[in-house]
Amino acid sequence: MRQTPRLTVRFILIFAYLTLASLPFILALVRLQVVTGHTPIEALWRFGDVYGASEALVFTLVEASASALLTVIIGLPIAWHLGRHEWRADTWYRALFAVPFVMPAIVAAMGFLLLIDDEGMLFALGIDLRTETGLIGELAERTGWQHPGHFIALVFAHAWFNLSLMIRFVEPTLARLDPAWEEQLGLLRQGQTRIGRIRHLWWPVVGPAVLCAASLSFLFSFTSFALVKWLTPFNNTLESLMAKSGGSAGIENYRVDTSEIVMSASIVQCLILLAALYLTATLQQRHSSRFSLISESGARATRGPPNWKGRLIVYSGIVFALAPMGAALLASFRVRHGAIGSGISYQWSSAGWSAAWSGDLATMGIGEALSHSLLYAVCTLCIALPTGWLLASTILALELQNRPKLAKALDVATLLPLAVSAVMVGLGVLLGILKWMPSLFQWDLLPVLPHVILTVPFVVRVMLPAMRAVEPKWDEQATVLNLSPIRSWYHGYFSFVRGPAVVASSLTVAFSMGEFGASWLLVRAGSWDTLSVVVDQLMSRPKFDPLVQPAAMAAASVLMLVTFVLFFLAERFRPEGDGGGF
Amino acid sequence: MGKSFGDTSVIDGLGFSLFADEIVAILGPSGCGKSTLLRSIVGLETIDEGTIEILSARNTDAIGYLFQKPILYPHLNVAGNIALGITQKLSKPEKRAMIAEELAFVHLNGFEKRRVESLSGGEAQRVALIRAMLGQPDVLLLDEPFSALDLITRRELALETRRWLKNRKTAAIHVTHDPEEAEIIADRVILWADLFSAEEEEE
Repeated sequence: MRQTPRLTVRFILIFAYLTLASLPFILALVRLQVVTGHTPIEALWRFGDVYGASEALVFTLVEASASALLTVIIGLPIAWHLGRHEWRADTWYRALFAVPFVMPAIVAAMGFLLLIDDEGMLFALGIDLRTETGLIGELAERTGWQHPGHFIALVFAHAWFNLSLMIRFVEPTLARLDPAWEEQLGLLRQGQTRIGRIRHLWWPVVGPAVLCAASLSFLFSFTSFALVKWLTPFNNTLESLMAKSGGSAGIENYRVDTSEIVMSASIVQCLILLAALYLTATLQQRHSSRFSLISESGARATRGPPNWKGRLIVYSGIVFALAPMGAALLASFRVRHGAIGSGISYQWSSAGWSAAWSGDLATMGIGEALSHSLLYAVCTLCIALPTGWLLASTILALELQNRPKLAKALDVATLLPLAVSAVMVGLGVLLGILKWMPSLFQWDLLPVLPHVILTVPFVVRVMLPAMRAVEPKWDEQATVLNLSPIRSWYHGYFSFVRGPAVVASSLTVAFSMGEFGASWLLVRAGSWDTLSVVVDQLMSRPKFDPLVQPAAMAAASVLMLVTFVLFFLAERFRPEGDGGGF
Repeated sequence: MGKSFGDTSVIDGLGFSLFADEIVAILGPSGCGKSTLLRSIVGLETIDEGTIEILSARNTDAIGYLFQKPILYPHLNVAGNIALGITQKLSKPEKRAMIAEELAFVHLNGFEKRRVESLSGGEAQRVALIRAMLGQPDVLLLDEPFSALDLITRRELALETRRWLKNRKTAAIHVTHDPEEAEIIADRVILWADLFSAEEEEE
């Protein structure tokens, strides 16, 4: 029988975690209030007067909305064809489309930089997004739009990054739709036209899933940092504006303007993200309730293999998903010969890898950086997994004890860190803790704190549905077999959540290893650099040395390969039919 | 005994005795509380009034339970599921031999490594029966375990179960809504309504 959870002990632990997780932000706000002399409400009202804030807000809203729209435009046809037809390797295709989402943003940034480079694939096709000549230059000249190429590159990079959201939310819905619904509508008058079919069948079925994925795409594009930093260097989002100002913020009588920027921008960003999260949660609920309407019959088999159009769309999607990663890997072996401006040629060589490994380019060797990243990731896992497990099991215990309001409140509290971006978490620790206790800056494991705050919501999101799905019958069977408590727990409970626990662990390690925003702010340069910070440092160096770019790409490739391994490990343990969510 | 769920009383004033080695079938309509009675006996539900006493002949104090749908753990194969029921301390070869012998008894020779998802309803219920019996229970509770099977398999399994129970001198309470099945398996058939009359208890 399900054991009665010791709620008091649980609540003490949960209260300790929530306090620890929120403390940096509270202390940071207090610090900023002391420095600027403004309360949070005053900071909100003064947002328009803060230098660069309004422009950053407009740019962020426009790029996030455009990114969400492009994600729908690219992702929906792929999800449609993938979900409605019988594909020989559908599991592989689904996994490939999910890879970009778990790929570290800095790797994506490097991949897209290469694609839009003046030696890159797009340039060869006559599309110059980086130096904005030709078609793009003409667009800029005629419309007065500054740096449209950079904007287009950023929006495509975000669409690439969020592609898997559309596939994960929409594709299972379509794949499990009973063909009888479609056949029935085809026999009715309303189903004779395409608009009628969209209105009466497709929109009610997949609409909430599409909106849910689009709203999450907006959320992630809004808080993207590495891609913005590298692809749109002339424009600021709220996130990059805060990151740039964060270093000098929080110091009394020094650059008070930067403290004002951080305070106002973080409050506005937090409010917008909370609204987006609320919208996502509402849409997800609608998506789930629609889902219950449909059957799980073998819809794919009745529709048969895809036609040429379906193949073209899905295969093009796969090329799009793999291109930036392939470009980064290839570029790590492509070394420039000759000085810039006088007869450049390229040769294939592993010299970039050797330089990156030995750290000859005045950065840390990637072996050492990888060991730091792994150490942070393992420490993060050791704290985030038990914490997420405790939170998820407590939410479930409250639900089982018929205390839905308390369960919902705790559920929302675990989601809140998603409403603060990686940069905001990093700034919270920087301003909230380090400015009060500077000695903590010497503590090498400091980045573990923001990593834990950022990964716990993912652990809860993965574990909670898995825990809810464990039926009491397994536990009851173990009870009537008189198994020992440990064997009863193992066979009646743990064996059913073991797979999701591996998925959550792999995602936690992958996210921690690829995390860039908070690490960039908190890692002491040259002493405890992570792999993603080393990639950034290498790419920031002047490119006079021909090994700089290949070495940066080699570091990005190592990060990419580690993420690949972790991701496929997670996929191997993902429960069958687990389509939505992370 | 008495049992309520909230304000709804499911069982009120029920009483009966079961003798050693006796197989009793309780016949009643769906939803009358038969499963609740068995779940209360095995301890999956706590009763509000009365007592349930087992005067163990074997001093094992064990009660076996067969659910309506066989509950076989999907992360274990057939042999792994059966092994969960073994209570004696045995070496691995002894366990293997015991499992093979039991499987042969129900005509499932060579099923040890089969995945539980690949079993038919009847095969799965036979595996669950072996597992329940390996605990050497004083009483086996059968909660309509054959109701989801086709007519022929249902009769076969009922006969097989009776043969097994008699062979091992184990008492059983079988609840069902099928009179024919009750007749096949039981020494004594009691109607659900009769469980609430004091006379039955006296007899």
